[in-house]
Amino acid sequence: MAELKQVSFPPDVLARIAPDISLHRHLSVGLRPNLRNFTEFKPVDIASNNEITDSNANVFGSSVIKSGSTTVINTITLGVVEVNRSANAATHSNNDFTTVYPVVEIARGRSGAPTDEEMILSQTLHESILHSRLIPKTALSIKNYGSAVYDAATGKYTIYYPDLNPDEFELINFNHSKSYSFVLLSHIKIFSKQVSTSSLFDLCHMSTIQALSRLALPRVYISDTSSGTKVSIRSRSSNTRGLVGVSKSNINLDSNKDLYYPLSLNGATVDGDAMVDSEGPFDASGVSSNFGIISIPEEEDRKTVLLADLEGEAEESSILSRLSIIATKDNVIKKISLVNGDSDSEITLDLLKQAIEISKIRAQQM
Amino acid sequence: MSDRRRLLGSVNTIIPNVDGTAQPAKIESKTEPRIDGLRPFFLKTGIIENANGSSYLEVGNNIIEVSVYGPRPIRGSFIDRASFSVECKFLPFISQPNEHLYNNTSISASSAANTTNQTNVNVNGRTGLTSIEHKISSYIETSLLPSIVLEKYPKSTIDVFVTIISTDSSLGGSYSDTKMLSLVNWVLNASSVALVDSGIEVKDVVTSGVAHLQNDVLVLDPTEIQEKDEGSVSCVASFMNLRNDEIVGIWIEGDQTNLENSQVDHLLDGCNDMSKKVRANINSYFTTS
Repeated sequence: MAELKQVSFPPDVLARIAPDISLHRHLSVGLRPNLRNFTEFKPVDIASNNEITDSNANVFGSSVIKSGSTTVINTITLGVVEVNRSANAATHSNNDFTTVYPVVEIARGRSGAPTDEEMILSQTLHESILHSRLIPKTALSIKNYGSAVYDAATGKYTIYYPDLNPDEFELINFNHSKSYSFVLLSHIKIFSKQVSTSSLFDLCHMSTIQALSRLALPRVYISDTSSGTKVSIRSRSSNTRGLVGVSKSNINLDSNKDLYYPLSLNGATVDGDAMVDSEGPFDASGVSSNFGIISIPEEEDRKTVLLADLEGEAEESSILSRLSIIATKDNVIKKISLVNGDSDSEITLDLLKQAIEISKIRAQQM
Repeated sequence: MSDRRRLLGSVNTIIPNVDGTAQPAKIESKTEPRIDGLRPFFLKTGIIENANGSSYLEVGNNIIEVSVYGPRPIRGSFIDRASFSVECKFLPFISQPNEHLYNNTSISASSAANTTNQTNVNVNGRTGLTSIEHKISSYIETSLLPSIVLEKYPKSTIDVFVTIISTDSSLGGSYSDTKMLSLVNWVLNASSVALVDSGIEVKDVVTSGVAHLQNDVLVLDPTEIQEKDEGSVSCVASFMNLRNDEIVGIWIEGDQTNLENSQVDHLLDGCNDMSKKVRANINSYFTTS
């Protein structure tokens, strides 16, 4: 029988065929495959301009952030939902807060239904924002919505608001019988995904917070045709399943930017027209950080190490114990998720403490 | 029916009109300096790392990103040449060119206060392409197809994904044919560059030009055009400049009732002229970067 010859591979080939071995070899010399230190985070750039919001009338908050080549474009559009007035009386804690409805889309060269990764990211983001108690329901309820009145003489519509034009408004036979609330619909597009799913969550969270902190809510008015009689017509060509005019409403957003008001996030103070962010938008919400825990052989013993901000195929596939922490600079922890996926490298209390400390420091530096 | 895969909010959510009664403060559109009669454009390749080739193009307010994935192996039976597909999508919040004409949707951004064309469909949950996206995708696909050496890649697919991040129409107001064709023109040029960046073998780099003709006045790369007038025609045409200016795609919009041969020639000459200028820019980008 012929002896099997030893085969050696160049590092980049080894990284493809045996990511776990490649990872261990890197870690044993004190470096990660992406050449960062163990607890070093990948730098994140947050675009300072607000161009998407300024140039699209239907976008009310947006952010663009970049980490390496990975780019996240987050836009918040608004929906309106009718709310039951008596529901406000409930005093249950989580009921007082609401969240965003994100749809995460990762450009990956395929079309079709969302992947598991996209669905998990959307759902986790949705829940994290809800449970971090960031957006009070009252901040999204629509107060004093106006009415558009058609002036036959000039052929123009004029919008009157009860608080801004009390005199004119009294003349309009219009009662606020319904109450409405905004719904925050967020679309997150990710280009050039390079980092792991956990890091992607951090980026999505950061971009959502950034977009929320810039969110300006418009005034809402009802156009007067809503009081007219509606007739249901069966329509064959319509995709509204035959009922035309029933589900349609006449709720409008006033695109007059002078009337926009900022969303008051819980914990952040609002001053005049802009949120006071002298200390940054992440004060109240915290910054999301993620860690992987892996043990590496060291002489006779094994050493368990903490890696921050996982990136790349090797780390994504071979590190199964994960930690995800949202911490604020004021030592408040908004979220901890912990997966002990690898029996060789269990998350000990010390590692957990270390990870929390690092998250806090990161939140302070943001 | 609620979508179980996406978080779109409660089914009762209404997507309100954004009114046009109070126009948002428009960003002053400066008359951009033109070089050779064209607007300056910004081009960059290779920014998308998980694609085989990519390009990013900004011209005016248009921002276009193109990724090329391929050649990728296909499963199933053997095919002796690559299959090629193009998918062009707008980000969901962007009002699409002429969408009230093609997409059967409301004129959301430009509607007056009395429009009742409102839907309660959350655009974030849109699956598939709209008619305009289909039209643009198929134009790009037919124009690029003759240039690609498909025989070199049996049992593979080459997929081009175009994302339109911003358009000139974003500020509201109805989108004209001219602006739509101008967008198509730049999407095609960006796609060609991405294809070159991917290293897929091509016979020539397809470039295109867009021209507008009215009263025998020809404007290249038009931006401010009054369309409603009679005899206003816009045209985008794509060429393989190094293969005897072979036309690989042509799209004409506007008043075509009295369109004469001489006018079409005039338009095509204009487009060809512009495509050569674009080509020269692309060539210098690739040779100097």
